[in-house]
Amino acid sequence: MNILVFNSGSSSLKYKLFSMPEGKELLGGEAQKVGPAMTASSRIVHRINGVESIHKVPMTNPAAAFAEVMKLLTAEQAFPIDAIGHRMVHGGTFFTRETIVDEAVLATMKRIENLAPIHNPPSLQIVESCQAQYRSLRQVLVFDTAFHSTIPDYASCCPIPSRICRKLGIRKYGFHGTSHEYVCRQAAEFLGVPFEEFNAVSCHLGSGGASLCAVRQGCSIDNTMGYSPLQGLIMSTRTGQLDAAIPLKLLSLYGNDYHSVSQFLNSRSGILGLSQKYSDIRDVLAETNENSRAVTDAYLWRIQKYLGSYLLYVGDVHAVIFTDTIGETMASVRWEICANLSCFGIQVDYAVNSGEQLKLPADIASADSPVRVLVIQTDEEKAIATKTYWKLN
Amino acid sequence: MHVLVLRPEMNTLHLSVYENQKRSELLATELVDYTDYLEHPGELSGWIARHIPAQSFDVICIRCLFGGQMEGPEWVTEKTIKHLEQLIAYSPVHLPRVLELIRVLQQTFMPIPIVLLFETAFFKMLPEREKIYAIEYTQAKELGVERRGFHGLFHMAACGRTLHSKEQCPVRTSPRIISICLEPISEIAAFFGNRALITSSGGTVLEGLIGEKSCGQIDPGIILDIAREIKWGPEEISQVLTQKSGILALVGKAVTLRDIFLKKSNACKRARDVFQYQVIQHCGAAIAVMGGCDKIVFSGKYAALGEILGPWLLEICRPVMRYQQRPITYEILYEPIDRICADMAFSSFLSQKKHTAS
Repeated sequence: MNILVFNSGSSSLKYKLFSMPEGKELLGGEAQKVGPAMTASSRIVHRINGVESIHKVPMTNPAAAFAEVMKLLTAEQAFPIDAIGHRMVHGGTFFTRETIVDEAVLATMKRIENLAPIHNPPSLQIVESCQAQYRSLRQVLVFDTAFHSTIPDYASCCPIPSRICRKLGIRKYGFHGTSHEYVCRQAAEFLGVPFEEFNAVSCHLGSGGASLCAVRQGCSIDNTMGYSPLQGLIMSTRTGQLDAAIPLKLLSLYGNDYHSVSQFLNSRSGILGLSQKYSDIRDVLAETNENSRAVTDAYLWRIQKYLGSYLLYVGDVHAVIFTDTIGETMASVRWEICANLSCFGIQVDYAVNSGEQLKLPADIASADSPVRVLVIQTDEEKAIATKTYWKLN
Repeated sequence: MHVLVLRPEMNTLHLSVYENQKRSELLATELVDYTDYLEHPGELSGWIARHIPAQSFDVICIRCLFGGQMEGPEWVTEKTIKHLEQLIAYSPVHLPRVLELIRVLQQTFMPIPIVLLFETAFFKMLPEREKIYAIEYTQAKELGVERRGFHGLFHMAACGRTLHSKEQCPVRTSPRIISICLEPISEIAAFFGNRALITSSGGTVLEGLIGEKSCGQIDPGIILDIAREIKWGPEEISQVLTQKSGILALVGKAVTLRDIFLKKSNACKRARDVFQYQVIQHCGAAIAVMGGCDKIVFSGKYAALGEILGPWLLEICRPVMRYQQRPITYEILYEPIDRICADMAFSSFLSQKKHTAS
């Protein structure tokens, strides 16, 4: 069965076609610079059999991007498409597992669009386009929040008046769930531990968003993101955890304009806010001045604190897992985060960790480290294809 | 020797007199709505003189919530007063009251010396990476919010006791201490190498552990959605988050931190589970940044809850003890804040006297 996976961003649309159940990637690509202001430079970077081709086509919105990608795949006639899997960032409390699309599901998704106002609407546009143009193709939604539906009440509830929680659906949802679950399963398999017995802390450190996940017996029991992706670690342009007096003071300053405050906290803060120059921690790490060192210190400190929190919370941990762009490629980040954590049974082998050709999945812990430290390449699209396949079969 | 300890809070001024070497206070009273009296200094000094005979103390000690970079104990001089006046922008409600109190006390009880103790002193050397929030530097300065603690005096007393304890591990000269101050708004700090490394608190009560009425740490996205969907302004939101949230919101009625450990209702159990989960979070962070832990010390109004939390936390820390190959012990500092202030005032007075004599 061939499953086409869509992973939609605010101005891009990634896609991969997998042959399931083997999980073999047949082709893939990305529609880039999708949006009215970027139409002149919109293009699809397409990959098949290791060969890349560029197709310049105007794409004013996600629906247009979807249409162009499907046109390309249909024209190629390389592989049939049997089903589609979509990454959905937020399913609220309505969707705690992957779900087959029907009218009722679409209606509910439209109602909760605002839970992830940047990510959910473009994904939904593609689902609706597919419903309209390819009715026979079954579609499955796979939610970032689903893996975290097992976070216990004491960690997910919000101690504010219940009428406010009920009205706005306030609780901790957690994000990057598809990635965290995927790497934890990979890690469990790597270590030969049954997934339902596996305890770990998964560190999804991307160049954009980032989160840690505490996993006990194969279930998520906490995530550093919360009700929104704004909570937790210092990210490329997001603040992460901060005193709520700050958004309140900003609301006063901006005359109650929550859009401006949201913009400030989501798009102008984090590493960009601290460095006033770069949003990517790799660029900050490449500099050696005092300010860059201070930004790096703050970034690493926050991760180390959360890692300590989760290591104590999970208890007997099998592994710490590093994944996504920064987690997979930045040896210095992994080393600094794990420094001083022998009290949690963690010892990283400096030489293995720093090895130039680190082949993933890799175990960078020293031989006598009771807790293993793994570096695993995440593949959210493959995880979505796998979930889609098993949902339909 | 006797010390008059004053603790100005939101609406109430607590006063107590302690004698050196005696554990219990000789006298304790409070004046509710004392801020009304501050506008009439003569009435305030009259009230104090009626309730606290001038001959009953040799030193006056005021507990201050904020002192900037001042370490304390700080004996009041004109220079001190000028320094505090410059800090008013950072503590616009509390510091003016402290300054007015100093003026009234100086008028009424001159020449009895006045010493100030600052809750912020313990956190003076908090590392920059701990203090800052990830927002633009200029905006951060304008907002004037950086992470600091609120119960420095309890932490100072708790850590000081451990540092001077004969039972301290002889191999380690600088013990790694987790100080847990159990109050209506509790606070956890990590103390190592003669400084505080982390605090669970924020720049205000809107970060940190769940309080009796305050929410503690909350996702900033929630603030924005409340503003957008319910259309409340910042003051209204702040009021709800600081006065109608926390344990009050979970239990549905006003109960204390002690109550949630002693009462058996499901609502109290839920609040207890939330509190304990947060304690684990902050203790885990403390252990990570210190590279281990040697001692956990409980203090505060509800210090006695350490008798429940201590054994429980040691069980949670069992893997850490195994890996660091050293035990963690816990201790409880039962002294109330006024006794701690009195002890610090005594100590400072005697040390100053010794310095003057030499």
